[in-house]
Amino acid sequence: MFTGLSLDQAPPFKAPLKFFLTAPIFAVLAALTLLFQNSFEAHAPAFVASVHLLTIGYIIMIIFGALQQMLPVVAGAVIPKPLLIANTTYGFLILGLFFFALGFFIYAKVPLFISALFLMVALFLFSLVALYKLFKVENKSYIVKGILFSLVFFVFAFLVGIHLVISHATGNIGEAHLAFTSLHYNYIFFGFILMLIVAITFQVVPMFWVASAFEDKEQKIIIYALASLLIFFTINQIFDLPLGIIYKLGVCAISLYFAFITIKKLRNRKRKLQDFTVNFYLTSMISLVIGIIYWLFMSFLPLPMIPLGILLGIGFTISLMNGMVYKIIPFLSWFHLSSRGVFDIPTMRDMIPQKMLSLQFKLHIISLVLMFFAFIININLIIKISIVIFMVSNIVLFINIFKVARLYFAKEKDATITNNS
Amino acid sequence: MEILLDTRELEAPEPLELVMKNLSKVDKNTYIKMIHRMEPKILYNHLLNNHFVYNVQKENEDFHIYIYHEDYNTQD
Repeated sequence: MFTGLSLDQAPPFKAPLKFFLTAPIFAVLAALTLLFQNSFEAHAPAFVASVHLLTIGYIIMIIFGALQQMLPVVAGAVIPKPLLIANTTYGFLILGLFFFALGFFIYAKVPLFISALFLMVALFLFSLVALYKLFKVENKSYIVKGILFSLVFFVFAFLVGIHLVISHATGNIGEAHLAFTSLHYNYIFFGFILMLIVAITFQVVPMFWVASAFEDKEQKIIIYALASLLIFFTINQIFDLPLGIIYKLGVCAISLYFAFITIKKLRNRKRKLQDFTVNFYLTSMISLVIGIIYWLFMSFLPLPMIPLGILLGIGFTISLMNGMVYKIIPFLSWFHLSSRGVFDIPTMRDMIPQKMLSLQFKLHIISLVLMFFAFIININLIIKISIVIFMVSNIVLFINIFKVARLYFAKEKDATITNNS
Repeated sequence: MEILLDTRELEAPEPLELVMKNLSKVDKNTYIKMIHRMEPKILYNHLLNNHFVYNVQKENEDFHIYIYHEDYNTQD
């Protein structure tokens, strides 16, 4: 008799779930801390703290949650002792982030050193285990290669990041600090986040939105070109060569190509049901296009830095993750329930009411657009209004995904009672 | 006998649900032919653990996944 899907390749639902549920809480915390700041300067310690509540607390949280689930599915790479690895990573991530924010807010050495240590444990533990498992995969697909490259760049970015934190802690900020900061930004954003999003998009866009698959040729061009450009950028930085513009043009071309084919696939998807999650994905791709052009223009015009962070960080990265969480959590909920032999499960569409999804999407878009223009014209009041809307958007996100988790645990409890009786 | 499941226009997890609903009909005379736009790798271990075998063929842009019971009568 059929008893449900095999869980051989999947970590327990609780392992990734806590990462997903924590992410919007950190987004709210980041917003709250920004509301208490009177001026916004990209390299000011308090601003760095708030930004990292978002980048580590939201973005890294979701990436680690998603990877735990995706590595077995796309690569057959099963993370050993999944709950132990997940809980250790999660615990050290939270502690590390707390000390990181504290260290930058009060600008003191001790919490910064502690944060470097805790974050090192959390980030290295997870990424090295994942890397080891990915290296062992035979016949690596481009998706696997993309995830693998992204984690390698993440490790490099993190090492540079640790150097930057210790420079702050020791007050030893030399001439090379900006060059290291630039390496950190580029490895994190293009090497880690963009590369990972590219690889994950190749998997999830056909899977969740019934779009045609990405061709091998398309996958190969994007993954290899991006990796090669980052190596080129590293050499350029080390030897202080004047070739940064070639790197920029190359990254722009690849990003625009990726955004173009993804938008085309989403617009031509085979089943065009009303689905707000696809709007998050399209927002992400449009933000990538605008963000990358803005970044290129920064080479010629004195444009401010923070709007770029909003376009690429919130517009591109967070929009995409927000939309994907709405697909991944109901899917995992369905998967784990059906594996326990529960078949009376609401459809993914019914797990989160479309009205609530639509509300959160509108709040997200309004906060994104308002925040971008508020930082361009630099009016504090409008900046703060946009931050409040961003905060509300993440509270609604939390409520929406918490509902799915609650449904899962209620059904799981029913199944346990039925099986025991 | 063939049970044809064309899942190319279904979003996850509907293709898996459809296969799972039909697995109980698979026996030594009946097999499933699933047509999907991507490989349902998540299904494979389950099939192997539950006395099924599978065969995957790429046809143009689609994957054709044939699912048999391990006692399938190959003489037919």
